[in-house]
Amino acid sequence: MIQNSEVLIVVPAYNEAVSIARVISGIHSAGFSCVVVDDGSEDDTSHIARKAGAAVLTLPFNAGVGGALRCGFRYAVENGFAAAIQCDADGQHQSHHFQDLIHTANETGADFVLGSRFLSAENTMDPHFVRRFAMWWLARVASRATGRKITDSTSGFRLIRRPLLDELAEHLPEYYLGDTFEALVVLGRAGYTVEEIGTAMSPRQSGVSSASNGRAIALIGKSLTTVLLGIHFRIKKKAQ
Amino acid sequence: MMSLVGYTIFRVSQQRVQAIEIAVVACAFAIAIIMLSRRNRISFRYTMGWLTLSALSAVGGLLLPVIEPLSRKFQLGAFSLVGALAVIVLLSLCIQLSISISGLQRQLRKLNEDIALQKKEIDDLRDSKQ
Repeated sequence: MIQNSEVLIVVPAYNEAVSIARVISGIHSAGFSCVVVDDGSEDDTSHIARKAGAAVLTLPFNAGVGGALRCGFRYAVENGFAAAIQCDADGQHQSHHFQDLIHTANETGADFVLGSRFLSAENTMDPHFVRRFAMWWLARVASRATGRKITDSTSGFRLIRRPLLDELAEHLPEYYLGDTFEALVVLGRAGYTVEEIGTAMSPRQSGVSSASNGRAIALIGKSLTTVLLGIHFRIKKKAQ
Repeated sequence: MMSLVGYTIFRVSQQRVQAIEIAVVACAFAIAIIMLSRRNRISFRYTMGWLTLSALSAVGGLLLPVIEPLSRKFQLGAFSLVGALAVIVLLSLCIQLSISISGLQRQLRKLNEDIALQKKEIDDLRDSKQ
């Protein structure tokens, strides 16, 4: 059983000075401790996060979301946390869902619990149809790798428990989709169990999405190729 | 052009002219590498690698007459065989460099994280003293 006090909320942040204090406040109000990983921001993200009472890791240069997450996961492992929940710094992820992720992990014993935007009744996401088709295709590949139906393979809202957390703290790639879709396929192929629940997403409080539609589609193609050819990163298989 | 000049004016065989051409290009390449190395643009390790390649190319050019019988077995001219070998060596070097860069990226990634984690420890220590 994972207790709330054994869970660390990892918040990768790049130039999120506008929203970070509110996000940290939401996490603390929900009764969780968090670490903000400042991914080489050029604004006051680190300073504001520290003032808001979060533990802050400041990367000397921008390493990408995956790089920031890996650092946060390392911090969680080194400080003895049993699980970590990834949460965006732009205020889109709602802190009341942390408990849902933990509850599902405890109920099912899953190593990885994914918060799906598409399973939520409050879903407001409406991507371009080409992007939607690409996301559907990614979900199909992820479902096949994990052996359960996945609806949102690119979600950045998930709980990861040990020993999977140790593996991702060491090997999670930093490139786009490497930390989400590819990680999902890799952990599925390594025998770790995945559960998915519906989690609503708030509109972005600040900033813009890191990938345009065209770029996202190109990167989705690259990621699919990586997975289909089996040239993705590797983690230790789950001990039976 | 050089082959034509050598062939018509100095009356040396075409193969010798080709050998001289290869040697000249290899020497020019070696000089360029030495100059880059002296300006600290290339590390000692890679300087030695590229100089060895230059030396092998020069020697390969001089050995064109010896290589001729071997090249006939591959249905190639001696010059083409030397060229093909050079391409293989260059591709091997590119792969080696890719491996080196990937290793450096891994190290840099780890260093980046280590700095962030240690900075946090320093900040915590500083806070606890105050």
